[in-house]
Amino acid sequence: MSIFSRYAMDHGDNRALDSAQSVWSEQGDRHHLGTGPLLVVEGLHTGFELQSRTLKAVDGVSFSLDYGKTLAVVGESGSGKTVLCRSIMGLLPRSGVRTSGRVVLAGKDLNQLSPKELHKEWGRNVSMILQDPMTSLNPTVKIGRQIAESARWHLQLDRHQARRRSIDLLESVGIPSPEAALGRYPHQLSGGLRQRVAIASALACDPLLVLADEPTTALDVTIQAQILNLLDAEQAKRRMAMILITHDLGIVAGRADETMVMYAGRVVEKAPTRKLFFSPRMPYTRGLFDSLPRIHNPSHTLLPVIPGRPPDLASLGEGCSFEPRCSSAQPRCRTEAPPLVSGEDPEHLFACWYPVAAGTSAATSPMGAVGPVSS
Amino acid sequence: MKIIQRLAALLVVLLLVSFLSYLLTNLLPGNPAIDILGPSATKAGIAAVEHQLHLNRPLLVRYLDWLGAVLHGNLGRSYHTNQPVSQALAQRLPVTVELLFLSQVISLVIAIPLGVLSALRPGRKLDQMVGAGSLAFLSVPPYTLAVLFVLVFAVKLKVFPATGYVPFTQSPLPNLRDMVLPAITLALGTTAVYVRVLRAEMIATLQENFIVMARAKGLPTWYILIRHALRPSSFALVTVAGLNVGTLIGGAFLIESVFSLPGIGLLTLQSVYSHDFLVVQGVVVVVAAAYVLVNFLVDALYLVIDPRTRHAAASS
Repeated sequence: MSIFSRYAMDHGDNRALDSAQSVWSEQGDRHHLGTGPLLVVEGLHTGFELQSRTLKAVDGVSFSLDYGKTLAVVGESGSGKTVLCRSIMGLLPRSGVRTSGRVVLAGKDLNQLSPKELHKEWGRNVSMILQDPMTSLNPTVKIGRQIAESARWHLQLDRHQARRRSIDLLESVGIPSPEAALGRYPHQLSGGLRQRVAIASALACDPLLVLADEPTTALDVTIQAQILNLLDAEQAKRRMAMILITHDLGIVAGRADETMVMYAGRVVEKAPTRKLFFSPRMPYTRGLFDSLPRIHNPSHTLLPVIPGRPPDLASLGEGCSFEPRCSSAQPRCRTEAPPLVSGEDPEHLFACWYPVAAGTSAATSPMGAVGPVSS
Repeated sequence: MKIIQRLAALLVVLLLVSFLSYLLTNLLPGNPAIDILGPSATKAGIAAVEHQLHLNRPLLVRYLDWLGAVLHGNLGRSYHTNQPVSQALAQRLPVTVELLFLSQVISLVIAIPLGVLSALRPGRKLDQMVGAGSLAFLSVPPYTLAVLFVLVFAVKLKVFPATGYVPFTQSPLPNLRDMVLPAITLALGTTAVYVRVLRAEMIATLQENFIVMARAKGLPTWYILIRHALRPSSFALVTVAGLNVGTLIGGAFLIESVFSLPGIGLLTLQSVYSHDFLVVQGVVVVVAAAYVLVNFLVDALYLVIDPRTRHAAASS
């Protein structure tokens, strides 16, 4: 990095940067400026105010994510994953929603920023990929504009530069004949290609952090792998951090550095992915793994299921929210909510009074179902 | 193929409308011959005029005669002035078209920002005010407003003339001055409808995922509203505007008579009073054709608004 570009970056002068020959490598360096934690979330609470009570969708979530790393957030539908994602960005509407806690991205507390300052972070430093590429792209706006608009806005690119960047991005996410694709509308592309376009638009300003909210749920299995590999490759190339939200444990293996399991708006277990997979401690996590189908089982084997349904978030009791469905629940679980603490391994946090014994799940490890952990 | 079908439908509509209006005007009590000759008409005189104007022939025969002439481009002549109907229309039509055009421009210029802004924060102060205001304007008939406006702006404040008309080609500015009050009066009713229609559709659009996505890109609100939300929200607006043309022409007839603007509305009223049927027929044909054509254009506009319909149209 030249002294000039370092100066430009420190002073936020992106126009100087974009006039430089190699836009990508120069901007990629922004990601080296920080080491250690990029995102720190502390005591994040998000409640939706109903008529008489508050629905606690995110209930005291804390974690941190280092530059360039991936955190997977796993949980059932309604466990608060998507709301967590929107709360981190600050995208939720202001009326009827109560948010507290700290979300610090690259040293800036997003909850303290004015709306205008926050808009400068969105798309520039943190961007988002949504679940359904059919609805996350505007059907009436050409693809070229949808990809480049955040870059045009945040980096003040002119029409020509924006076009070049769109072509680069489309090429990078593997869209055939990118120049022709610029003039197309979303409905003219298949679901997989649309998700690639959505990814390209999320990457347009080379963000520090990408929030991928179930990016492959709406896609065919074969396309899922392609999209995940693409995200992996882009992440490595751009050294960006990612929060991968999913309900599919198979996606997490081998892709996330850390995995966080959510239940009823709380983090119930958090560990480096490999450790969590080999030795889940929280009975809920264990239940999730047990409910995966296994290739070695004979056909028509009934899958073990977690009985019951997730609790009503508006009327949570005193105790552990998983207690009503937990097979190893004790009287204490009903009266006292377990804190998220570590056992023998300081990296492995779980919220359970009576955890599954460490290392007992090797035999039923889901690795058999999803393949070896490659990282 | 589709266009040919539509044109065939247009012809059928015009045929039906012209026949019905022929029937209705002839069922009106009174006799054009008496109008022409005055109160001192003799029986023999009336018979002579009726013979001259072919009024003594059966209705269906007269209609078919008229239709045959129309197909040759001849709309007939006024019973009273003997002026060709097409000439009368050519004189009067620009006035009405200008009135309709101005009123729609005013209407949309007011309705689009108000609809968009009230959709942005539904239930808040601006939305409530706009909602109450449009309800008020919807409930007051335009002719009441017209009289009220004349009273306030022309008689009391003397800002705009109450009546009068100068052609735009003669002197543009006085022409616009004459047109302001009638155009605003006509615009208010439709503005209220447009605001409500646009607001409802806009609120739905703003819930869409692609709007969340646009917000997550850090784009400014005005940009999202104009670039991302307005176009997908304008279907109902365009549809209603197209269907409204009929109501609007009816409204224009009233407004023209209140402000005595020499448009086709005033022409029609005068012709109906004096049983000048061929002129009425001419107006009906022109208005019906305009209505069908405008809605034809509205359909074409869908293709512009939503690229998906373009695709469907091309593949069908």
